[in-house]
Amino acid sequence: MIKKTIGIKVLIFPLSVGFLIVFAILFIRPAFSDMMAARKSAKDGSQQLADLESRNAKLVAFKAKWESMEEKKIIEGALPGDQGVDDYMSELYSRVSRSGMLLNNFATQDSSYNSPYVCSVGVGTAAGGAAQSASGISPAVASPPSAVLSGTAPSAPALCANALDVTMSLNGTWEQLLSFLKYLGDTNRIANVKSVVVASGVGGQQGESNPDLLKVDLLVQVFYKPKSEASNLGTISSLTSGEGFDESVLEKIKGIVFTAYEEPSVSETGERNIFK
Amino acid sequence: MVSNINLVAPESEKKPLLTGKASLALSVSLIILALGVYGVASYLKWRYLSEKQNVEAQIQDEKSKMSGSNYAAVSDFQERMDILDKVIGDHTYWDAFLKDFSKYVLPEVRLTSLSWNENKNAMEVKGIAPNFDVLSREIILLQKFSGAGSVEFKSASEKAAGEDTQGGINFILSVKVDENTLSKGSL
Repeated sequence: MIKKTIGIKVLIFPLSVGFLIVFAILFIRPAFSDMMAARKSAKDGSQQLADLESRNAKLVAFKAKWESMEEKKIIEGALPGDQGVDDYMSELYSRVSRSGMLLNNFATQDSSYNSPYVCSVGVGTAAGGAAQSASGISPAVASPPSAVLSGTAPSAPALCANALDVTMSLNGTWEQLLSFLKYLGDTNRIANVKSVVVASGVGGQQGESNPDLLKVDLLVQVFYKPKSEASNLGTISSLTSGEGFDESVLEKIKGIVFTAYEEPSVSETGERNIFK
Repeated sequence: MVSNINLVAPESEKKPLLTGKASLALSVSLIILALGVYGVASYLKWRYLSEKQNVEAQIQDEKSKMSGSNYAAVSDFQERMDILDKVIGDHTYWDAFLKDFSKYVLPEVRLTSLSWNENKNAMEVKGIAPNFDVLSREIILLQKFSGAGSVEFKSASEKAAGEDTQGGINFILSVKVDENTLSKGSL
């Protein structure tokens, strides 16, 4: 009887070892792997936080740099926040006047030209989308609709701009045309020529045919992008992962906007009026 | 009365390796150890999870700083630059192109119209040449123009001279425009 009692006591040890194994499998192992997973995710989180903190520090520096940048106005002029064409028309009209051409017609409408950087049709067709035209143009005559002036431009997805087609009809000589086209390439608001039609033998103001007078129909595409109210994380991420604002783009835009005007030198090196 | 009937003397009997008490103590120790390991693992897990939650809150805070209106102007500026970078890739300089093109038009040839559309990227040139010989020389000359990808003859018809109009060969040519030449400010 005494031996049996001792045997049961001794049996407790293998039983407890068995319990330990079961306990380890059922509780300790999952708890350990959960702990390791939590440790890894905490470590990853810390790394992500450190990365974000460094990006935020970069952003603070970029913001300070941006605030002192003079190029802000150039960029806003080249790609304004709304489609309002009054400023562009004023600039264009002064260039038409300087070149000596006569602007007969000016109209805008939503762009029909698709480019990868132009928002899909429908996004930019809200306010002021209807074509507007004016004859004997002056900035006051062809003022855009009130919706445009109030700046109620439609919102656009990131990294695409809304586009407007600006059509104009002009009369002038060959030299005046070259002069105007030179000005057109350097406007503050970036305008891309989409179609050009030049024809000779146009009737003058009194109806007589003037062999020197050319009729020019131009279609240019101008762009606008509504101002973002909140940061785009993708843009911020690409900005902070690089060295900041792309100076080469700024230089290119300044190259267009600030090109010194040179009087076209017709016929000095073989060029000539091809319509004469 | 002798109760012990074993032949082996009690002194010489082998003592068991694990006595009842020792076995109990060892078992209890093992269970305490197991519970301890489990407790430590659970505590560390809780601590890491709480650390993770804390870090996640900070991450959200940093993200909200980045995505809010704080840097909206900077982000907007960068977006404008990215778009403009693509837009100016299509910027063209027609004054330089036409000036260069005019060098490849013979003095005897007079153009009556010139039209270009980006979608077709071909310039349709209509003009009058005094005769077919000049017209053929004109086509050959245009083929040497670096801004022309190709020159295609469309049609030609003889036109009699009128009172005010010049007679000759009315022709239509299609000139494929080289986009690289068009995008250069000065040729």
